[in-house]
Amino acid sequence: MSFSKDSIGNSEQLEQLRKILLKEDRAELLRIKKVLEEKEELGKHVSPIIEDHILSLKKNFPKEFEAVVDKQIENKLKASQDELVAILFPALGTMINKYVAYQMSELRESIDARINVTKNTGPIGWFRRNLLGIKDSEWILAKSGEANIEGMYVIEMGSGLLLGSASNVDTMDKDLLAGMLTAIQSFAEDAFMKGQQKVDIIEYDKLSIFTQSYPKFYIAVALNGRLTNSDKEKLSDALLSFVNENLNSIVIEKSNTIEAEIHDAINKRFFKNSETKDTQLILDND
Amino acid sequence: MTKGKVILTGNFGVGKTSLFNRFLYNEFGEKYLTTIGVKVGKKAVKVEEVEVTLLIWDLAGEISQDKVPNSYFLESSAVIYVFDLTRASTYSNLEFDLKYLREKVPGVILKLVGNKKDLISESELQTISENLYQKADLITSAKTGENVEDLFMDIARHLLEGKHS
Ligand SMILES: Nc1nc2c(ncn2[C@@H]2O[C@H](COP(=O)(O)OP(=O)(O)O)[C@@H](O)[C@H]2O)c(=O)[nH]1
Ligand SMILES: [Mg+2]
Repeated sequence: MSFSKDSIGNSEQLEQLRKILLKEDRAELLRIKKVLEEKEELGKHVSPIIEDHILSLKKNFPKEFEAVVDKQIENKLKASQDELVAILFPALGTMINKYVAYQMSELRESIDARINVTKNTGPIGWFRRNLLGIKDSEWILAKSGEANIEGMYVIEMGSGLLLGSASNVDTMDKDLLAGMLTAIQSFAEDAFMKGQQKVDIIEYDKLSIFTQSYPKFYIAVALNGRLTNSDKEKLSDALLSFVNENLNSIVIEKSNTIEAEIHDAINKRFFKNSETKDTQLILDND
Repeated sequence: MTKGKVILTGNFGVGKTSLFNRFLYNEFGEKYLTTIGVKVGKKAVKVEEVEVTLLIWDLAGEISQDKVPNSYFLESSAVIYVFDLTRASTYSNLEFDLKYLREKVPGVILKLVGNKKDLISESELQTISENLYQKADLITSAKTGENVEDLFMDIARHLLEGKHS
């Protein structure tokens, strides 16, 4: 309804206008009353508004509240870490399980495409190592081109104490690595409830760590890349023959110099330029 | 070199992580990062010129000891059971928990430690001590650092002597 200022010149017109306005008011009032009285009607009117609101909230929520919510969550997490761990315990187990399974299947796909060359054990392995001077690590990963052996750690079962090690890089504390790996494995064992799947690859600080267990100890091999199934098999082979030929006797004897003995044995068999490597690196821990 | 695995356990909030941090970094902080319910720290100490390396496992608090993953206790040299002097609920199950631990890790060095000494008076301490299931080996404060070093040195000494208590 529109009118110009001029049109409300006389009172009669004004009176008429008043009536019209009142009538319209009345009609409007009745309409509102009806709407309020009938829930369904009310819903028809309110729903779109609410939906609009929700939509706009959805759209703007991240922008407007993200920081606040993040901070809230962070505070909450900080305040209840221990309870969280208790909650996460079972979930984490399942996650590791799934992750391992996924990784297995993925690796399985690529293995068929690879040629599994000769074994590392027996006379051929000996021949290659001793006469051709090709170290196991080079041999195992020559075809892979994806992974490099960075370090090898011999760790006592259960206690997680490091018996001996050798590595190319010394970015982390070896004793702590041994301890944490053991904790992770213990945790996984419990979480899987003696499941069929064993964790043999653990991701740690940008490294993939391959582990292989023997009765008294386990060996952890730190690699800076991904292992295919066929790499794993070869590595596994090489480790087993290393254990049988060298490591077992050292561990059983368990002399005072066990750390140095293991260090030398690993270097000799797995690493290049072992002569120039500084054994002190491994022996002084702080 | 002598090395030992030392487990810190006890109820939630008694101060295990604080003791761990206090001993390892000599500070009293809240930093605690955990993914699998355990954090491993390392400290080398000297006992009469001989170096002993302690690998200390800080377990995320559980109400009862039998809820802690079994394998965490495997082959440990020492277990430190911490309770909170200001909360009776943290030492009301001592009998059950200590028996459980002795059975789980036979022959282990087991240290019973009452923590948060700074929060109670001498007379309160007296009363608590008299009513404990077993006398505490040490009364500590992770806040002031009182007896914390001693606790770990005791264990290092035991380890070196190959003596179990
Ligand atoms: N006053 C005081 N507070 C402590 C002491 N030890 C730990 N706390 C506090 O008690 C709370 C729980 O400690 P925390 O080390 O996380 O316990 P945990 O669950 O056993 O690891 C934290 O707020 C600590 O600051 C202590 O000796 N004295
Ligand atoms: Mg804690």
